[in-house]
Amino acid sequence: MKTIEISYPPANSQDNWVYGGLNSRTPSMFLNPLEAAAMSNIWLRNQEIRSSHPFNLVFPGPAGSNPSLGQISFLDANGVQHTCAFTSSGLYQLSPFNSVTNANPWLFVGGSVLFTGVPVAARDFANILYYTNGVPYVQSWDGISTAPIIVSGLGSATFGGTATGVSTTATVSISSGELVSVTVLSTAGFSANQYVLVDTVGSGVQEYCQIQSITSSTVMVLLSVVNDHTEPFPVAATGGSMVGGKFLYEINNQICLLSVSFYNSGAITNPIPGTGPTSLAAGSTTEFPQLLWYSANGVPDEFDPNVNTSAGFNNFLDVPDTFTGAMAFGEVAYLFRRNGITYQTIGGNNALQPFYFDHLWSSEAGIGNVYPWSIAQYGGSGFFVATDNVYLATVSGFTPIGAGARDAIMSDLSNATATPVGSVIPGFSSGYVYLRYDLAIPLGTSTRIYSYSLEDKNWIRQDLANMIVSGRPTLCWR
Amino acid sequence: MTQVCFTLPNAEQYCITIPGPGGQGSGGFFSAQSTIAPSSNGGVFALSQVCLYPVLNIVTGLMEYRIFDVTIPPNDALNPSSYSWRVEQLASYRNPTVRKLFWTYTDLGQVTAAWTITGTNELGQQVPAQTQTVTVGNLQPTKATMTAEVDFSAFTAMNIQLSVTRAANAGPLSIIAIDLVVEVEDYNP
Repeated sequence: MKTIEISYPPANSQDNWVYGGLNSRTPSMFLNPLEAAAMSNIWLRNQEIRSSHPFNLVFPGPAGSNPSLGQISFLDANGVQHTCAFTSSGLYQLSPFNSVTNANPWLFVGGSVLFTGVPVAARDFANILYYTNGVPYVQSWDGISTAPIIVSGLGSATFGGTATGVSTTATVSISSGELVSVTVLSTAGFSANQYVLVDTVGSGVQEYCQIQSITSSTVMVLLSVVNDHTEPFPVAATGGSMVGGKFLYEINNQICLLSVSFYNSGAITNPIPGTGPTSLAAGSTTEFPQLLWYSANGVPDEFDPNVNTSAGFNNFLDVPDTFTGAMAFGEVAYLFRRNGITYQTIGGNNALQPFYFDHLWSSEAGIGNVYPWSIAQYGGSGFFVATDNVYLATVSGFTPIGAGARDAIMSDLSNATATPVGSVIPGFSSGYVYLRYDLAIPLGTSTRIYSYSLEDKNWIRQDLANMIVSGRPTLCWR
Repeated sequence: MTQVCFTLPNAEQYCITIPGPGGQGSGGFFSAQSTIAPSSNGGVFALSQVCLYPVLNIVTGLMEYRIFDVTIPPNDALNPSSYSWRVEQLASYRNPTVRKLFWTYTDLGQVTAAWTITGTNELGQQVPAQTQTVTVGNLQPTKATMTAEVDFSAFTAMNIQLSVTRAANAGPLSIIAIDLVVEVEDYNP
């Protein structure tokens, strides 16, 4: 008989060893002693195995059971930080006294309705917050004004902007709601699906709503009214045409929208050359999933190329799939499709051709981003999930990182019961650094989070019972 | 952010800016200006950052913002933890015997952990697993490195695999190192 010791970590490990993390792909006998055959709710940090920290409630949601679509902190022109949250009802901000318990810390700011269940794409540009989530408009808020405004109006006739001007006056007050009947002086000139500007002049509360139906010569039903309005208030189709998108990013001092939603106020013909319906009836909203639309250079609230020639759009008709996200790295950006990636660079001529595009590949199948909200970025590193693996993207290329956790991740993604979301988390509070990519996958009544450590290059797995992560985790000020 | 302005005897107007929530304003200096910048609409004091996870609580049906709270020990009251090492095949054709392991940890507080060894025999059967539940650590965490011995009653099997589980709210688990003591019979064919 002889006595031996099996040590974890092995006795002969080098000083700079790190844990290998989850490897459920390789037969357990062939694992490295630093790898785990299985794990749940374990953190691997600083060469130590620890149970994960409590997943504690810090704030209630801003609007009861209405799903949060994301959150972000931004610095306004006065140097004041705002932490904002989005729901389908609009924009909220965190109150300065958010550490006081037993009080809802969220204050409603306003804005027009957002889609339910679609994470918001938002970014700060010149101390102003810009955001959209597939609705046909981009909203902005400067942290100073009373409420957000829509900044992506298209005023020129090419996009149907001039075929407007109809207005009426509501004769009764209304309360916010999903479907709200509004009694007006006249519904003449209005039509179903049309976006209208509802404006309580006295209080300055202004929002865009879509007409669900016209029920009589004096009653229209509005969809998703976010604010209360006190009569008499004008309802006007003067907002004109607008553009929005599912994804929003910035390059070359221009706000770019990918997978575009386009609303034309007046009837138009062939607004986007070479694609889509050649004639769009007044009040149409059309999806262009292969379209990129960008604002004017340095003018992020001008999207009409007939007004400023550095604004414009590019329709990628030569690829067989649609856009699923973007990453911007200074002077270049990766535009992700389901089966491919397009490389965007600054073209040098802002007035005529601000950007060049190069499809890294445009095959029927290939490395692309399959899950639109799995994309996450931290400085020069980005992450996305393709059909075959999870990838780390940098300016110099793409590296598969799924390793031993790949099959488990792919299996869980295929069983996801809600939208998987990805986020890069530099740390969990001031002074606690744990730089990792979190991929949260809702599975029934729980969420499974796979986390990749950028420092140690390993995966851990966490299971959160009775919790469904509904939006991207974000490091925010409070 | 608030501006207080006053007029000097030479009729020149000066303003002082007092920082508001956010604490990062350009306040505190005098500037020659005659207009008052509009103040911000709300904001936070920005004293600390937290990583906010928007979640739907299935139990209450309400949306919440949650954080992994790293300011307190890693003792999740709602979710258990587990970790399994690789299958060890020490020597061909022999059945090693495990009698104990040494567990080195950081004392983050009192924790109860269940250590389980599984294995098989040469008949292709699972040997009944053996689990030892031990409680270690101090109620007042010392942050010191400590070692505990976990005794098993002669677990003999091939393909040995060690795992550890911690029930929800069973304390903060830490593992710095594990030494599994194994006896292997000599092989004389």
